[in-house]
Amino acid sequence: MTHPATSRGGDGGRGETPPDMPGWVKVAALVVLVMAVVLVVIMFVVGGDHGPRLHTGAAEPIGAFTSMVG
Amino acid sequence: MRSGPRKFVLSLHLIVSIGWIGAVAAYLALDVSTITSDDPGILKAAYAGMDLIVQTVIVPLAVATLVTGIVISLGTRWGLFRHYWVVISLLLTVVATAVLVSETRTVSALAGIAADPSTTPEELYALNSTLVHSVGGLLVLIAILTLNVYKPRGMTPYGWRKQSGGVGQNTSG
Repeated sequence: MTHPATSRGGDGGRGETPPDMPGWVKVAALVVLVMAVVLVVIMFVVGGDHGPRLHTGAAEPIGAFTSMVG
Repeated sequence: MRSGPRKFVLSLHLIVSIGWIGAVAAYLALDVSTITSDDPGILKAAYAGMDLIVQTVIVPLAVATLVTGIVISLGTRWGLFRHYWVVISLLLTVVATAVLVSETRTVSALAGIAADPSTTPEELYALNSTLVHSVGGLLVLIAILTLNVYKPRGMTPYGWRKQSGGVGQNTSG
């Protein structure tokens, strides 16, 4: 029942159902997910003040010197 | 889109997008110097240069890349949401531009502190670096460029529906 072209995720799908998501998209999404998790873990382990708050103006330090020197 | 305008927008897109990568590379060189150098003069100049490059080159090129990319996508058979590689390129460009625009405030603040005559050398050494952003941004831009060159296969469900509708029903919109 499955149309061969629809199960490959290629550009030429002309079956009744949309083509599957291509493998390279799944791999890329997985890599991005793993990298994001690793980054978050590193930030928690190493610490530091980096994060979106740093850009909003809500976070205090532009430089660490405010806590180190001031 | 007709051939003439399409080639014009494509040329524009190539100029600004590759220029964006080059400008980030120049920014990266200054960014590295804020970590490797302990000369207050070099640090002040580096932060001032980073701010100047971000405000006058990188941000305009990023916005121009986004705009020309959208125009060229909509004006060709690729569309904006029909192929995975276009959607992912768009998504990465939007995220990179958003992070960049938010980052400009940090860079300006760093440059302001570095330029302040009352800032001591110790305070200069303790200023944060933006190296994570510049390296990450450069990697994202290289990924987008690679994606756009290889154009890997894969049509989205929306693209498939549009193609099917265009072939069978010729629906509008």
